Parts: sequence; structure tokens; C-alpha cells
Amino acid sequence: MTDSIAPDAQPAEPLMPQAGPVPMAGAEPAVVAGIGLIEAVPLLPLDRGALQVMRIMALLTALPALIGAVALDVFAFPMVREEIGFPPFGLLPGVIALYALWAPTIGASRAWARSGYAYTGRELHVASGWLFRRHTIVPASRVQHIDVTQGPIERAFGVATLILHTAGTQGSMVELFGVTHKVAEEIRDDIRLQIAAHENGMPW
Amino acid sequence: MTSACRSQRTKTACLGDPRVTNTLTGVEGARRLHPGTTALRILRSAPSTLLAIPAAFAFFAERGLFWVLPFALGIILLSTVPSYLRWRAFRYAIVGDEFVITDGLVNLSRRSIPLARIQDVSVEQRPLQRLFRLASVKIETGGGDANEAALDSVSMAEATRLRAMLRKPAPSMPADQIVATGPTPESPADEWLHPVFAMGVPRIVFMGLFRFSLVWLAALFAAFQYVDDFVDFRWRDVKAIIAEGQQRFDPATQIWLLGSAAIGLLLLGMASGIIATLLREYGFRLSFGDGRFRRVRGLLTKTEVVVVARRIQLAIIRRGWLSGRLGWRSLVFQTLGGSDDKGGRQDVAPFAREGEIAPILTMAGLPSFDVQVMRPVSRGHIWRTLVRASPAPAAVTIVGFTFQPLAFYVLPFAMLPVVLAIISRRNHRFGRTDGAVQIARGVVVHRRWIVPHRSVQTVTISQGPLQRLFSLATVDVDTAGAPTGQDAAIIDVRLADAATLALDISARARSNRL
Repeated sequence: MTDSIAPDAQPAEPLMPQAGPVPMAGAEPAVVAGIGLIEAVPLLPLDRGALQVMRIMALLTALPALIGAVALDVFAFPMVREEIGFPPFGLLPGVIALYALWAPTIGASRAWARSGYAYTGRELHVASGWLFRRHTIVPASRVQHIDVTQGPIERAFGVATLILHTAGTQGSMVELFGVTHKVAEEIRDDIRLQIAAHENGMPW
Repeated sequence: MTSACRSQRTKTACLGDPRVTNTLTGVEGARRLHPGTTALRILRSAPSTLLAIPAAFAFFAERGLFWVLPFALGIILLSTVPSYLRWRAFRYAIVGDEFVITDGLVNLSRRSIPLARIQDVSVEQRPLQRLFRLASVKIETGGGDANEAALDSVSMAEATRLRAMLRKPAPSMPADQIVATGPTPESPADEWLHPVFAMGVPRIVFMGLFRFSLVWLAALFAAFQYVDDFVDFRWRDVKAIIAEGQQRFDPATQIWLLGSAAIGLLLLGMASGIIATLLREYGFRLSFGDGRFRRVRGLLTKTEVVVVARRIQLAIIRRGWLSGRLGWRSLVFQTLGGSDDKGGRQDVAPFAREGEIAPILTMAGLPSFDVQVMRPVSRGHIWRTLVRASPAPAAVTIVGFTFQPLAFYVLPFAMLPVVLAIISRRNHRFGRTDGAVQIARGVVVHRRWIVPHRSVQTVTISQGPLQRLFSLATVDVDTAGAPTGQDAAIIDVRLADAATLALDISARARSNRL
């Protein structure tokens, strides 16, 4: 084996999510190019509801920082300002406020547009991250147990998080956030059935 | 039934498919924990609640102790409500071929544990539980996190029922459980084992020469700092001595003096290395038998470690900078923690020849390292390493130049990142055989990973902003029992190659299960 990544080593089963076993509710699944890091595996975008959840989560993390910055600027910085003339009034809160504006709007949109998933029936692909991109592959045969979770904000927008647990270390918990509850359950049930089928003698 | 369902799973949930909704409400056989759990939890949190009582007394002493009793009752009632709600939210059931737990008041979660994945069911009864005739049931699947499922608490009868239902004689029983029926892994009878690798004192001493350590020197300096106040030792005195020396002696003598000082340090470092190594490795003996390795070593504290071969996840062959050049290697196994032996990395041959390592790998069921298939990572690795490694030496150079006399010696530092980057790329190679993913990496200490496909859990491609610039990516191969942040990684391959490689590793991984 001289070429370690020969094309014949490609998995035989269809990788296109269209052919996959998870139909989206309603409209045909629309694969979007440019999500994920594997060109051969186009991914499905997250549910639109996930975008709203991401916006709210970004806001919820940015707001405390903004409040903290304002508090610092009003209560702690005046003394420093008297001494060394820096930082000017409003600089730190201004910067944080800009971030608090950016994160739920542009930031969340970009993160959403870069996130996606595909379940091929044999493995789950999960991609996320805008600046630092990640694309994780979890073979169904490696799944030990599965969680479907839903927080209150997620519930309000009809999305859920699917968590696959493997025996790995860093990848012992692979989270697919932002799919509809139905999709999360369908993927879960399929993996579960596969595990049971394997137990009854079916090869992976 | 299952295969028929699987073929049409694209369309509808098939008949007889035990699909359940988010909650277990209305599901037949769904149960809650024993109601006594609520009381148990309050009692368990009692010690911290008790701490509040003196404070309450101090508070009510002014207002009249009459209020203490209602107050205490109120507290108890208040702590009952969340405890009750938690109890109410938690339900479990065996639904079809899975064990399901639903939990959560605000964050709802539903955990599915396929019965086929359950490896161990343990029933535990702590003193407080014994009082209530309750028990906790813990279900282990071999997943990464420790707390897969804990039913705390159920009645003893329910615990027995669950254990009987969940623990079935699985056809694909993991090897470690089969092994566990033999003598306990902790102390396998010696006659089962035959020696594989051992190190005598001469070899350990020789090995110690390379475990050169200047820790003692640091201790010495620390001691100087400590006695500073008493002996009037000052750094500026040292500098003055150096300056005086530069005036008094000619360059040749200076070099000679420096050289002998360096040799002195070297000897000190070697001595400490030899002593530390002897303490650790004395009497090193690795033996193998009945599917497991046993390692014994240590001079003052003798330690014994058992590594079950089937639990070995990967091998790392380490090559030191100098000892490696002389043909010495060290072999480390990464092993999955079991119920008794702890996971992580274990030295199995700390100072061995290539020829001694190969048979150990074979016994562990690992393929040997095939150099033929190895390919270098992208040339972009040089650039990225350069960008990442430059700031520190650049800073050193700048700082160096501010101290005039030292600047000359510091100048090579500026070249260091370039050399580093080139060596880093030259040493970083990867490849794949039929049995394993192979990775080689390291500038000073060189490591070779052998990751059998069967132990690959997930594969992740990641790309940072700098890597995107060069269209590179990193492929992480996650295995069980890896120390945090030390999974096998192929850094900076072309993105297209990374994608193909990741798909390939994953495809091989899923058809090679433990």
C-alpha cells in the first residue's frame, strides 16, 4: 500500500445526505456546499430555529460582559483615569457593546452558516465553527449511548441537541446542536436499530 | 424484524419500532425512582443545611427563639420542593432494545442506552440507603464519561429486577469480561506468564545517562535564593565576577573555564538522571500470558501494573534525540481503563532495541510500524510552524540586543524557528496500513503512533485561520484512554487529503470493531 489514501479506499455506501435515511420534515433536504471540511460529503444546514437560538445565546453571553464593562468603567476606572489618563471614558464598554451587537447578528449568522450535519446511515458528520472550523465523523458502530436534549430556548424554537457518546477521550461526546427534534430522534433511532441489528449478527 | 425496518426507515417508522417521544409519559413500564429518594436527598444535603443552624440561631436570638422552629420547618419544606420535582422529572424504562432515561425540569434530556451496549450493571447500597432499604443501580457502557446511568435510588427488589433484565449473556461479550472470569487481573499467577522484556542494572544506568536532568541545579539555585539573606549572595556579584574574569583571563582561558563549568554541570545532571532512573526502573520486568501484560519495576517502591492486551488502544514508539540515534527506543501502550486497572499510558519497554519492541507489539495484537507507507505532511507545515514559532525567539533576540555584550550569543536564536520548522516537517509523516493509522511526529523527541483501526472512536478535521490561508487542516484520531490533549494528530495536511484520509479512517474504523 504505497498510496495511503488511495481513492479505492473511499467508503462504498452513498455519502450524499439526500440518499441518506433522514428526510427533513416537509421540503426536500437542501444540501449546502461550503459547510464542513469534506467536499465529498455535502452537509445539511442546521434548522432555521437554531439560528435564533444562537442569536439569543450569543446575546446572553455578551450582555453580562457588557454590564461588567460598564460597571468597571463607572466605578473602578475613574481612579486609574485620574492617575494615568487612560482608558478614556466609554472605551471598554464601547468595545464590548460593539461585540454584543456583532455576536448575535453577524457572528451568529456566520457560525450558523458554517454549521451542518449529515447522517449517512453509517456515520454522523457534524461541522461547526466559523473562525476555527471542525468537522467530526462518528461511525455509528462506535456509539455507546445517545442523548437527545432540549433546553428552554431550544424548545421555543423547535430544535434539539443530539449527543452521541463514544468511548473516546476528546470525542467522547459529539454534539449535534440545532436540528429539529424529529431529525434528532430519527438519527438516534436509526443508530440504535443498527446497534441492535449488529447484535443480531449483522455486519457493520 | 430489524433488517426489514432498516430498509424502509427512509420513509416511515416501521411497525413494531419501539419509538418513543421525548418524555416517557404514557409509556408502559416507565418508572420513577423510589419516592424515598426525595427524603434521602434531603438527608444527604443535611450536613450543609445544618451549617446554617448556628447562623439562624444568631439571627433569631435577637428576635426571639420562638421563630426558630417555624424557620427550620420552612427550610426543610423549601428543600423538599426541588428534591420532589427532580424526583418527578426522572423516569426510566426498558423500551424495546434500549434502556431509556428521561430527566430534567428545564433542560429536558432523554438518554438511550442500547441494551447491546450495556457492559456492567452494579448495585450498590450505602449506609444511608440501607436504612431505607434502597440501592443505587449503575449502568456502564464503556462510554467515555464515567456517569452513564445511575439510578439513585431504587428499592432493592427493583435493583434486582433491573440487574436481571439488563445483564444478559451477550454474544459479543467484551474480552475484558471474559478475562475477568479467570484469576483477577491484579495478580495473575506467575506460571501463566512468560518473560517478554527485562532490563538489568547496566542497561538502566545507561538509560539514566540520557535522562539527564538539571533539576538539582534548579534546587541549588533555589537554595542560593533561600540563603541570600544570610550569605549576602547577589546576582550582581556573579555578574561582577564574570566581568572581572573577562578582564583578567585571556579568551582561551575563558573558554576553558566555561567548558569545565559546563562539564561539571553535565556530570551533575547525569548523576541525577541515573539515580532517578534507577529508583524508577530497577528490576524492570515485563511478562505476558493469557492475554495480558504484567510489568514490575521500582527500587524503593516496587510497582506492578497489569495491562489487558485487548484493552490496548494504541502504541507509541518514542525515540530520544541522542539515545534514538544510538538505536534505543521506548514503547508505550495507551490502554483503556477498566473497572479495576486504570487507563492511560503505560511504559512497557522504556529502553529497548527495535528488535525487542516488535515482538511486544505482536503480542499486544498490534501491527508493526510500516515505514513504507509513510508520506510527509504538506510543505505549508513549515510556514505555519515558522509563523507560530517565531514570536518567542524574536523577542529573545530583541531583548538580547538590549543587553549589549550578550547580543552576539543570542543571534542564533533568530535562526532557530527556521531550523525547527524544517525539521518539524521532515519528521512529521503519516500513513495507513491495512491494520492501522500511523503517525510520526516530533522535533527533538520523535514519536511514532500505531493506531489500529479498531480503536478509532471519532475522526475530526479542524482548520484554524492560518491553516485556511495555506488550505491545510489537522486530522485528529480520537481513541479511548488518551491523556487530555494528546490524541494522535496529523497536523497540516492539504485539506483535500485530510478529507479523504478522515473518510478512509472512519470507514475502516467502523468495520473493525473491538
